[in-house]
Amino acid sequence: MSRGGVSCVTTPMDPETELALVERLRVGDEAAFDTVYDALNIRLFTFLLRLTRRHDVAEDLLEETWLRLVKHAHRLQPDTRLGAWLFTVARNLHVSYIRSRLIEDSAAAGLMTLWPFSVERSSPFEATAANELERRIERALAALPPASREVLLLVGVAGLDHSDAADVCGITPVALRQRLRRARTMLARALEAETRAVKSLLGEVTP
Amino acid sequence: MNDPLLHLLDGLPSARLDPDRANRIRTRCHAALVQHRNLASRPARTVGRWPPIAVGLGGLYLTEVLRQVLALYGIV
Repeated sequence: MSRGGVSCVTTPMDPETELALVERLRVGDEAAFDTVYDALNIRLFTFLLRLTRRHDVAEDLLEETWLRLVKHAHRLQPDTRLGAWLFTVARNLHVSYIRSRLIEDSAAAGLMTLWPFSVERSSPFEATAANELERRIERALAALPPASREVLLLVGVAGLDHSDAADVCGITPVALRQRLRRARTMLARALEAETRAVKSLLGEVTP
Repeated sequence: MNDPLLHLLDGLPSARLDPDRANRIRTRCHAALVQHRNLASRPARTVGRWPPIAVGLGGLYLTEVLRQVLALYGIV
């Protein structure tokens, strides 16, 4: 994991640059693709990894997201917001993946009840968190319902504005703000609960 | 970002993608772009001429079938 948040991994794209990049992508310009790839690849991967919590799945979905871009590049609208477009594809691929997993899991449910160990896995971020606060945030994030986690990741981590995040989720900006408020409250509560649990544990071990 | 909680999220680390995988994705995408570009630059094919010919041949075939059927029943 690299440190320092979103600001160090993104190349800001002003609207004119983005319009020009879309135009060049439409004619299959590889240099334009590289510019978009370098600007958004890590953000997309971070988003997918926090959604899936699995490196292999996140990498596969990331690859498919970029391949969708080049496949549809010549059909992009001239005013396409590339960030929103790519995050929308990534999110939809994740939704499809979850649906397919649900079908597989329901088929395997009978067998899994015979398995004696817990299969709950910790997030890759949790394992490499630099401090206890980060670990608690990662745990709290991972425990949120997918729709809440998604808006927090899009706005809080990926740095999308409310309008783009609403487009990605397929909801109105008003609904996005409501969902974000609820998600934020849930995250705050989860963090408080974690803090209380840590304090009570410390109380037990401290003489 | 004024919200302290969202600010905390902003400070979370980014994922590190395996450089080999990142390069593989880039290479695949470049190849796909080149393929699309080549397809787009290819001169218009003569596909457009074939449907009228196919329709004509189909029409001739059906006419012949009809003629044979009518002959079978002694109508012509």
